[in-house]
Amino acid sequence: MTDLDLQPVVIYEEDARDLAQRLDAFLKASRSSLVILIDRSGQVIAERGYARKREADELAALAAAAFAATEQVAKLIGENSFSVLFHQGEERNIHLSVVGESALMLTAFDDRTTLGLVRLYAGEAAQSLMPVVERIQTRTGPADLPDVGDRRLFAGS
Amino acid sequence: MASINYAQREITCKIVYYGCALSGKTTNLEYIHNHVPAAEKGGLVSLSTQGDRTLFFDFLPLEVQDVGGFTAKFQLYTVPGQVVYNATRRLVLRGVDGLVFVADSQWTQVKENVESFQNMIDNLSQYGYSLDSIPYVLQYNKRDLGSVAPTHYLDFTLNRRSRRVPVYETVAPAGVAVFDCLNAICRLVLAKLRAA
Repeated sequence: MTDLDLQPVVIYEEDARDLAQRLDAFLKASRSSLVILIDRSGQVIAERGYARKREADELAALAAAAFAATEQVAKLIGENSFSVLFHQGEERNIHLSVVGESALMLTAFDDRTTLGLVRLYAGEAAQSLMPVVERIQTRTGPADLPDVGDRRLFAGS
Repeated sequence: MASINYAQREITCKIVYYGCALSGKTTNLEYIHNHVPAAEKGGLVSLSTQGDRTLFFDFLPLEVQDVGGFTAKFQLYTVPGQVVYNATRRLVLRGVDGLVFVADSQWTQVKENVESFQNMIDNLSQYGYSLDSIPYVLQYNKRDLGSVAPTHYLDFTLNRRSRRVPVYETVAPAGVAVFDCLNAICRLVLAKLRAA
């Protein structure tokens, strides 16, 4: 991990389309309700399926933190990392898996599918997502971003 | 790390409020959360102990529509200030785009501020990051208390790098200069992205 880690992720239309296609295929095959592709700093790269407004942002922040904390736990017992996390609820479950070095995939699912099916297709999805993730993370400089000048973005009340 | 999504016309940035224990980081986020219109914010997520001390982080997603044709999303995090939580503090810094260092202005906390500032530099370096390349501002908080150090003294202890940064004198529970500070770091982060 280097200063390169601070380069922005840049997503163009074609990237968004490629990610959506792959995530939709995964959702359909695994019969899950929501999938979120997350960068390791906790930001949403792409999401498909059903989520309330801003729910994905919160899930991404918490999932990335949980994964990072668990990674430290893994190191304490001599493992480099745990590649999969699974949280079982009464009605909904969360499956969290790695996509390469720098991204995570969070899947929410219920009793319409099984953990085995989600795990199976999550592995395949990670393989298909990796080249796209690599592409968006290695682009150089953004263009035509807005100049906010002295604008007060948040007025408060 | 910031993301720029041209498909959805969204810019997303991560801003971390850092500082020693009880300096007012969570109070900043609480005040912001209570004074931003519902359309511009998500829920404030706090991972805290039963005694309301931050255990892992607080998280507050904000967004502004129509920033030059983009929606600008800022994800605000705090770190736990207590010394014992350094491992979790370091995790929160991953991919940070901008920092607000919240100093406790009281004379009794001068040493804690300096140690926390150095701890921030050390933790950034674990990721290969440096304050030379990350936008940050200083917040001298608790200016309403009686026994506070003068700002020139706090500058001497905290704002002495080759690049002097903006300073905000705040009273976080009352919101004094809290939004000035937030706006400043948001503008700095966007300006840096634009210059990249």
